Amino acid sequence: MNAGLPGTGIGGLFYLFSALFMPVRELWRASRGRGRAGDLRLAFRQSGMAVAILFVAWLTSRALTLAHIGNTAKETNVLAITFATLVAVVVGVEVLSLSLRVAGRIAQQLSGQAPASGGNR
Amino acid sequence: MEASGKAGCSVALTSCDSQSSTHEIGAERPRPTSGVDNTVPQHLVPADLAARLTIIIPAYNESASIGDTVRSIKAQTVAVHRVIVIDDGSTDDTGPLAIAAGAEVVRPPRGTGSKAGAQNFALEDVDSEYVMAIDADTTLAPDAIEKLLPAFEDQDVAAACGFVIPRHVSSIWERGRFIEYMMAFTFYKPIQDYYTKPLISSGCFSAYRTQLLKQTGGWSTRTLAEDVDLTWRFYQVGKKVRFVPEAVCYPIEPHDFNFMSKQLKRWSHGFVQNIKLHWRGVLDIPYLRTAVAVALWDATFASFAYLILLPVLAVVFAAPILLLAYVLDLPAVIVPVMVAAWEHKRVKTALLSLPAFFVLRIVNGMFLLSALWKELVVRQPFLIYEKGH
Repeated sequence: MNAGLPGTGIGGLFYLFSALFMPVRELWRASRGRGRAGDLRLAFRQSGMAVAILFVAWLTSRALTLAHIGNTAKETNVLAITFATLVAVVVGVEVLSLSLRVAGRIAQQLSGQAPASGGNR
Repeated sequence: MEASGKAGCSVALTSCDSQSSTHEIGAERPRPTSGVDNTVPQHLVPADLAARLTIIIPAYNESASIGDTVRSIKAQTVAVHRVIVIDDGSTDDTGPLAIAAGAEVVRPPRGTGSKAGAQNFALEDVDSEYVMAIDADTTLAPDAIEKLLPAFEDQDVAAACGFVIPRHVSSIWERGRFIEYMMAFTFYKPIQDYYTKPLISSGCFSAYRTQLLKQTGGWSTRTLAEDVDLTWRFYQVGKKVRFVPEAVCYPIEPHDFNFMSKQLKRWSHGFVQNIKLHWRGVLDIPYLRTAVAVALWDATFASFAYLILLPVLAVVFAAPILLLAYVLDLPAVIVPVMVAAWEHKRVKTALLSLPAFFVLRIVNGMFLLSALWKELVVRQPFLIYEKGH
């Protein structure tokens, strides 16, 4: 199955960033001797596709501007809003994950203390 | 041939190959010569791995396709241990055709009610180290198993899945799905695999480490997307799932709106049900949590924007030009699709199918919004599994 709406929304942007980061991560891993065979090739393949997608998106934007259908300012705003939304979702998920972990640890500590204090009585 | 199986099961068992024998489900049977042995040396050649593989195929009224499916397995470059078709209450010739093609056939005493139920029925009898689930309408490329199994050389890998290409591409729905898969399996899924978190090990063609599969409870029937449920459970117990793009399978996709709507309803409800079920566990898993959150956000807000906001704005501002947004990302979609089409020699099919993708995407949005509304807002979970085609 395929979740979400491929190509739309913040998902497209998320995978573009994921792909663009792959060569950076892979080179960093390789420099520490942790690279896997084939991963560097995959990293450049996916990031190459991401660059091509960004290029054709830019071409589309230019074509729309030349056809007086869109303008750069509006397109930049849409991109900025999409990017801000993606950042908000990613940060939100990380904060939620961290909160649950912290809450779990606190609950664990409290449950660990409870029998001890009960035993003291 | 009928045999009385354990737990009152009436089981039809037949085989046309060297493993031909009559036995009961769950009864002791000779182990494969390669054995279920977790101390096996690493770097086995694919033929050794395949000798430790049982393939199970749940089937309900699949007479039109089951023969092709079994024959594609028998024609693999590596020989597998067993091929078991679960004839789950078919009223057509699914069983006899599967036997004729060379599979063992088992028949549960009553319909299990779901694909997961049928797979679990057969899983009890699987004694090999690896097990593969294939849909009854899915054929494999001749080297699919040879390419897929080496993923298990890493002992932490619990499941591996391959590249999916619709077998028939003629109706608008098949064409839309063709583009969707070309894009997803060429751009998204390899990225997910690089970050070691493929979102789903596709139910139509995936292999599993049998022991781990059994330990995690097999295929669950608690959601309508048992493949998502299983994949996320593996991650939560610290196991890996791999995507192997060189291993290719060819399922028959829904060819009309009636069948497509049933599938999309099942998938969209299954996705939401799995988020409800696993959200806490998923939050502990880096990358997966972000990928799921982004998918959920898009399922909700991109669907809303596509189906409601855009047309409303176009009417309110008398600006039909806004509707261009529906296809504005066409050039961006073309890039990964053409890369995939070039690699699989399907460029003409891809070019002709592009418009259908945008239709299917809108329909996807409708089903996702409906599933989110029913599962999360009005709390009317959809749990009826409609089997077969």
